[in-house]
Amino acid sequence: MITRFHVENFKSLVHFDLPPAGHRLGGFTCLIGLNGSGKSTLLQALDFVAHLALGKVEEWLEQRNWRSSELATNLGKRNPVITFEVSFDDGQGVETTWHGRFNLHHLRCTSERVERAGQTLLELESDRLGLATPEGVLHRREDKLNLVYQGSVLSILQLNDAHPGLPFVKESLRQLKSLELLSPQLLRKRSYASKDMGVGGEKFSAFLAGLPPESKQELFQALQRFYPHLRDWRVKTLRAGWKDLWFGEDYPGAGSVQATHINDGLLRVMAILAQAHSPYSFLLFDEIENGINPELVEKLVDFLIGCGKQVVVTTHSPLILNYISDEIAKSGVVMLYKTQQGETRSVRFFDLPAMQEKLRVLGPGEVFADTRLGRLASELEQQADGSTTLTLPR
Amino acid sequence: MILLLSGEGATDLGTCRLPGADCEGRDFEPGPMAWLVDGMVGNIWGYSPLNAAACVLVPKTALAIHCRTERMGPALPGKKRGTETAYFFKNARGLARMALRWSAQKDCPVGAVLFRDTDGTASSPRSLWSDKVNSMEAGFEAEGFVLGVPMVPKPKSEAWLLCALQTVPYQDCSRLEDLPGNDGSPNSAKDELDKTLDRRGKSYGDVPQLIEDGAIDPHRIQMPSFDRFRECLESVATRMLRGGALGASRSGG
Repeated sequence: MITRFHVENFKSLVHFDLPPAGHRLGGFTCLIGLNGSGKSTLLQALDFVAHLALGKVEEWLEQRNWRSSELATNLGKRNPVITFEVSFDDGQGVETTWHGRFNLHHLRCTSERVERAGQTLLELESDRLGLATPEGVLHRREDKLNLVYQGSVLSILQLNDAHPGLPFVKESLRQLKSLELLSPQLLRKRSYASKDMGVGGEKFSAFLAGLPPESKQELFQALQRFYPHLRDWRVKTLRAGWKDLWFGEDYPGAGSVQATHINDGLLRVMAILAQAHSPYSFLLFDEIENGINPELVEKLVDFLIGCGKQVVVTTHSPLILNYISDEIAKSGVVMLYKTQQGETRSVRFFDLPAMQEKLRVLGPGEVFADTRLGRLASELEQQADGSTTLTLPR
Repeated sequence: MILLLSGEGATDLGTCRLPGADCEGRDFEPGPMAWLVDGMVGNIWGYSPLNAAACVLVPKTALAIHCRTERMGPALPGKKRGTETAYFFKNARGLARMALRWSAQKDCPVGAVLFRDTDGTASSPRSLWSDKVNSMEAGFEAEGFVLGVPMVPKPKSEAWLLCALQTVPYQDCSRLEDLPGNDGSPNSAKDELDKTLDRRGKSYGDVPQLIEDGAIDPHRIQMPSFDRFRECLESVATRMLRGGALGASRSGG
């Protein structure tokens, strides 16, 4: 489980913490904020850092059609280094933290460190590597590391003989899946064998084809709770192994319908529900409410909170928030906003006294819809300056 | 006739001696604003509702719990109601429902006074006070409740009291609505009232006595936020006295 994320110099995340300093990330986090406040950027930053551990930097950039230089903050003087820190809880309450400095010219981390309970498990500085034994003894190599790789040195190391904290970090990052580029158009596409549905869902049909029969049945049942008229879904295998997704609907005389003719909402819901059967344990969704009728929102929120995975979503929907319990909302709803300088900041929305007061009377979504986020951001900045205090309820 | 009063605490409408739900009679410790209401309503009814145990205090927390447990539909902003008003709208709806239930149980007119300060910060819009009052009225109306009174001083209740206690009483009181509502600000309404009371050798705890003695006369206070409150309260108290309305104009929405 990821408990904390810190990043510097990634687009508008000049010096950014999720959650705000002093807190730990829980099982469900809902990011809110005005358009352009940095919500999607945060999902990108998390996904980017996970890809460093997999050594897939160029692939990640190509998926977005970006150049590495575009990742650096363009506020003030350009700095070619992105600094990050990710902390993980191993389930036993012990925290492991991976720190790194990624150089945008070299496309790799020039400095890295993994620490666990005060012990250094990995250290990379000036191309010299130190690795801890399973007993926790750090061995520093004298010679320089002459290896070619992208991202993190974790991506190329065989960690079988290293301290178990290191494969734990690598595996935790491998289990992060960002679906921020999820697109109904891509979900409809025919695809060729894949265990993963792809960054935008372009391999969805192949991923579904590869699910075990019990997972397929579970997915159907889950989907039918959203769409009672759904009779079945299946993947047809075409010539040369291409997979095509079809649906059956329970209307008199209705035949099967190809995914190309199925509504966006059903495809998006199916892609989200299918994550319960994916190997990923940390899921990121952008604008989770897209294409989904308000009547289905409660079921969707219940799924996201109860699916047993760590989930971060962004939303502009009061309904999404209104179906979150007050307790989860208090710890999990994080507002992003930009300072006058254009830097993204975060605050736990219901830590603000005015929002706490409103929450006593209103649902979390009603509080959100009733609040002018732009004005609140200005007040937060003034508060940081010490020029005012948030003494509302208003 | 019964008046439900719901405010923020001891410095306005008052508190319950025992924590929890509504209180009346000896359990109700009235605050300065309750005495102000008492004086104005008593003038119309011919007797003091506080002394007659005809006032019920609904603590802020009890009202909040009531609002969250009642099914009212979402309070979303739109063309009919702006942002930053749902809190007041829903509190008013909740209090209206309570009053209507009391009215049905006791078979008598039950009015309701909902008190909230305007407060606000430097970045709050100029319309903050009117938005609050209007959203409370909309909340009462949404329940078809015609005996609801928004009591929203600007910036807070201390400004109303200052109007009566300042060096030249009841003169040019509108300007007091521009005092800072934030107690931490220099020359805040609270700060100014404390200094004024101090000059008279009094403290905030003496305010109820000053109202009873007539040193604070609600009928002479003239400032826009008070005028709107007085007009509404007097209208409601008169209608209750005539007994024509039991509270509801139609079934609640």
